[in-house]
Order: sequence, then structure tokens, then C-alpha cells
Amino acid sequence: MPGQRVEAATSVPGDVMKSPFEFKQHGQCGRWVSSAYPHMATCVDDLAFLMAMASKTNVHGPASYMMNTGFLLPGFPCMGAWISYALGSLNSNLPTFVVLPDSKGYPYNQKGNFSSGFLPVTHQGTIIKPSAPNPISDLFPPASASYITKDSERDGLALLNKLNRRHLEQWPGDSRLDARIASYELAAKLQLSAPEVLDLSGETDATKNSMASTRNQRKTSGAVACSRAG
Amino acid sequence: MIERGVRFVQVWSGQGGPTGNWDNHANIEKELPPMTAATDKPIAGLLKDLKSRGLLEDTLVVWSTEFGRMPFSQGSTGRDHNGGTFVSWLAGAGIKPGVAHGESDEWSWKATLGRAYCYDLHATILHLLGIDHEKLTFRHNGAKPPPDRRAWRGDWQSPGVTHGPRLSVMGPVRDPPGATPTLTSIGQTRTHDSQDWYRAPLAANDTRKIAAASPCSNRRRRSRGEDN
Repeated sequence: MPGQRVEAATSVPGDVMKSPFEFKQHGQCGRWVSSAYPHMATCVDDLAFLMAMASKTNVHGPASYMMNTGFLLPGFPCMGAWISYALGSLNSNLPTFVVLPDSKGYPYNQKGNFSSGFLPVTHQGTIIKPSAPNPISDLFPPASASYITKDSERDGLALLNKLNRRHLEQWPGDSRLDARIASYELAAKLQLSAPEVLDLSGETDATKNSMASTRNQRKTSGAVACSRAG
Repeated sequence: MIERGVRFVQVWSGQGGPTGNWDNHANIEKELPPMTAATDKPIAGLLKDLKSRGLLEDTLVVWSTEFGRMPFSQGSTGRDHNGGTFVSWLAGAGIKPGVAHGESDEWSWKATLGRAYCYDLHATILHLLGIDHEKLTFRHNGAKPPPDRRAWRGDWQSPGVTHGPRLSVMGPVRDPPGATPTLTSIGQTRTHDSQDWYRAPLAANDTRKIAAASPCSNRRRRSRGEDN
């Protein structure tokens, strides 16, 4: 960096700091991996590393939009929404684009990262929280609502559908209502398919153990991280 | 979910805010290990599981972040944001295993060789899905298609390429008769008919073509009541 101006996003730059973790070469490819990733280190020969990624900003919000949508500003479809729009569904009983947030909370930009932008709203990410008591919000009536029976729920949904479609006739071209109707229809299918998909009891112990986080064995038996927040 | 045909599963690690994430401004040694411990074994397990079930053949896995960290300290043991260089990785279908693309400077301050923005990563992901990303592009004010200013600056590996993968991590394209494996990042698509990618994979009741998709044309379609 000699002669170049060095700036940081939120602080005054300190001294150059060595990594506190030990690095060793792994695999046939000889990739350097830190001691913080002992299991990942065994996979390096399966991975292709992009060692020189760059962003146009070093501020979380815009950078997260850029990572997910290719634009610094909100309002554009994210990758999952584009893929849903372009390639359609493979399984009409499940959403095309699923988001599994960290059980601690949403990333910077909250749900804006999963937005369908200007594409029809049906393409936005469906949020599933595998470790929550209700992995998919509002899919089943709460236990306290004992007055809701299967029959009454079916009648209620039929009435809702009728009202929604009547409203849609008055407001053609508004994809939000379409998305809501499609969402109710998908929810009805999900009531049957989601419990099976989210049920990990059918997996072998070997599979469960192979993915159990060393941080918290109980909570993360099925989840794997693909996007880092922050 | 991947087994059941969900196309794209996006898993997040870390919450927004001062703690419980990878945003380690204060103390790398204390704050980073819980994050790596929560993800290290699950990712390795996922890759091995996908491999053993044969799903890695047509599932693309991508690990990325919005930016990296500085080579110098913040306070005494933290690090500040660095949009200048960071590492992502890909695995699975269509990806050449055990390779690396690009280099940062010796300080890990800025990307130097083979610098890639999210545009390059997105274009590569879309290519693996069988999507020509140029067909999703709406060029502002008549700007010329590539090779353009970015190509001349040497950001791309192949300045003459007008579409297709932008990163040199692609394996040989497997092309069994009549079909091309089309794989997505973090999720998957199944094999679909090769040539007319934007027609074949759409749902049976969906006749839209993706070629016209752009903010402007979409708005125009919506104003004509053609949306949906």
C-alpha cells in the first residue's frame, strides 16, 4: 500500500494485524485454510474458490442488496426470485424459492434481501425457520383456536378465495393479490407436504451427526449456511 | 427440500446488528470462532451428503458474503469492512473442483488479479442454470454491449466473451444427448432440454418468456395489464 490512501468504513485504520488463527495447506490442491474451519478443510478439493471478489461499497445494506440483486439500491429482484421467475416450479406442493434465516434473526436489510422487486410477488422468498416451533408462519391454526375445525377452515378458505377473486376483478394487474391467493393455495398444499419435508427423524444418525454444528448440536442439525450476514 | 425439487434454497448465517454475526469489529479471536463453529461442520456435512446421494451432480452450492474485512486492525483486535477483496466459493454441478480464480494484493486489501464483482458471479450462476444473462440485461441509454469499459480494464478473464460464464472455475460442460445439466447456486434445477432453456423449464401453465424481463419492459407490460 505504500503511497496509497487507506481508509476504513467505520473507524480509523490501525496497524496491520496478523490473523489470530493458524493457516495450513489442505487437500491435493494445497488450499490454505485457517484452523477455524477443520471440517471445511477436508472439502477443499471439491470447491472452486473466488479469491478476488470485490464489492462497490463497504456498507452492509447496499452491499447486501448488491450481493443478492446486483444493485446497490433496494427494489430489484434477488437471485432466488429471478430463478423462480425464469425456471418456474419443479414441485407445486413446495415453494420455488426458500429462505432459511439464521435462528438468531434476519440479516441486514431484513426481508429486503429476499424480495421479488418488480417481478410478481409470488417469486419472493418463502421464509422457513426449521428450528422454530412453527417453521412456517401461520400455516396451521394456533393450538388455542380449538373452534377451528378442518371443515370450518376449508369453508373459511373458500369464502376468502371468493372475496379475493371478487376484489381482483376490480383491480386487475395488481400482482400482490394474485400472490396472496397463490400463497393461500400453496399453504393448503404445504399443510400436507411441509411436515414431511421438515421432518428430519427419517434421516440416519450418520447424516444428522455429519451436519451437526459443533457450536450447538441441538439447534442446527439440518441447516447449512450459504450467505454470511456482516 | 433440494431432494423434493425446491429450486433455490438460501441459507443465512448471522443476524443484523452488533453481535451474533460475522461483523467482527471488536474482537476477531473471540467473535469469529462461534460463527465458524456453527457453519464449518454443517457445510462439510452438506457437501458430503449431497455427494453421497448423487445430488451434487446437479446442485450448485455457493458460499458468499457482501464484503470482507480489512488487513489492519480496528481498535486493537477487530477488523473493519473491506469491499476491496473477499473470498467466495462454489461447489457442485458444472464447477471445476479444487481450483481458484484471482488473487488479492499481498496485504489482502484489494483484489488485483482476476477481480470479480457480483455481476461476474451472478452471470456464472445463471450460465450454469442454462440462462443467458444478456437476455436479462436492459442497457441504460443505449450503452453498448460488451466488450465494454470493464472488459478493457481487464476485469474479465475473457474480454471478448459477450455472454456465458465470467469466471474461470467452470468444469467441462457435460452435454448428454438432448439435455444439459442446469444447476443453480444454493439450490438446484433438474436437467432440462438444452437449446430452448427459457421455454422448457417453465411451469406447464406458464407461457411467459424471460427474454423481455427488465425493469422497464416489465413496467410497460404491467401498464398494459399483461403482468401475470
